[in-house]
Amino acid sequence: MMLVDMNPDAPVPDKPGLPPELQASVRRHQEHLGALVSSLRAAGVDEGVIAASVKQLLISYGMELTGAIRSLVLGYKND
Amino acid sequence: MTDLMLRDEEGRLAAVNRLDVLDVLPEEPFENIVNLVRTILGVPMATVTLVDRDRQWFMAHRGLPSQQTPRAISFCTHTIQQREPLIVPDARLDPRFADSPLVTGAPNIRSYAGVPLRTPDGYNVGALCAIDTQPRTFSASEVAILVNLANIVSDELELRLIAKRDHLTSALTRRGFMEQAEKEFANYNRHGRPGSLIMLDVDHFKAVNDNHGHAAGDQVLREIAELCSTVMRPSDSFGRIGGEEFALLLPEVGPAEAFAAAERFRATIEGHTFDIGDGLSLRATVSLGVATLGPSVTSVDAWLANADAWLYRAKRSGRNRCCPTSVEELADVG
Repeated sequence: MMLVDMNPDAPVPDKPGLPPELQASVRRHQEHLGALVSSLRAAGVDEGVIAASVKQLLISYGMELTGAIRSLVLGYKND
Repeated sequence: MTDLMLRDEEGRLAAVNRLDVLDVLPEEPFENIVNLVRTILGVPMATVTLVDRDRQWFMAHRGLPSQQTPRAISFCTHTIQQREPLIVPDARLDPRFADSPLVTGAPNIRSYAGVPLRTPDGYNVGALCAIDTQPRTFSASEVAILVNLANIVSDELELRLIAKRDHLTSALTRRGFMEQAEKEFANYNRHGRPGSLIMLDVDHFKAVNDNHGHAAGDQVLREIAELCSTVMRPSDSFGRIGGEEFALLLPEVGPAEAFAAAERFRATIEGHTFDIGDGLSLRATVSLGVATLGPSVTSVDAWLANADAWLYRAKRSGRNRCCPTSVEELADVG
């Protein structure tokens, strides 16, 4: 779990298996999580609370991402 | 451009409706985020708020007694007028809020920090809010946390939009479109508001695929979707409900306007040249069926069936046309 490694400045890898609109969304989400970790640290929030918060947010986002992927896969093709 | 979007209230309301999250049960992802706001910022109240036409509706809330309040007394209606967070250290000293019943009575709001929730197309649909019953100066680091959590709320809302969008054309999926049609039908049943539906099918589309390949067919579908999106109003919904079949939902539109709109879509597509790559281009036409809400329409399925029947007649009558063929005929059928 990259962000729980707590390096918000780490480069975000491409996700070649995802459609472009989801790649952009995933990249933004990772950037936002990284910024959140930085702001939580700047506010002096406990590292354990930060890790638990990020984990919870990743789970929520993962569920939404799964729904979006399912919708894209099941969409109409022109064939 | 940005400032113009802040003043485009109809476009903003359409963006709220596209999210399709008003009046649904509380959902865990947003409940988790308001819990985080409360815990980390140490406030008794936190909300994920959407600002509807006349109300603010809480997608998730902690510490507030109700699911919604009138928009006129809300703090968030001010938050969505700007791009930056709205910070109110003491509501009793702020003339915008001093007399609000939310301040003078329960839940006795004294301080507020709200960050706009922005859609990918730039509309502020609501706010993530931290609320206290005591006067409070939110520190820069606390505001930064709220901004970052608001971005994450916006990320999740964006995924919901993607899930409702057809990958090829960016139109609503059939499911997403049907949800919008159900809402419009309910609006008609409750308030008697007019509404119209247009079904649109690309003429001889199989020939496009057979003669030019599926990539060309894809391009035609994409461009038709773009043309329709350009012509339609922000409050309209546009969906791809079959392979080469689309549907348009026109809220608050009666027979005369619906017929004019259908003709506008037809003429726009007829007049367009489709660039299919390699220096090649082609022309395409569409057939359209129009159906308006009326006493004879007892369900969304019946509404779609009416439009589909008119579409079928347009096909049989020679294509590249709208049916019914006159406003009077459309009104009669209603």
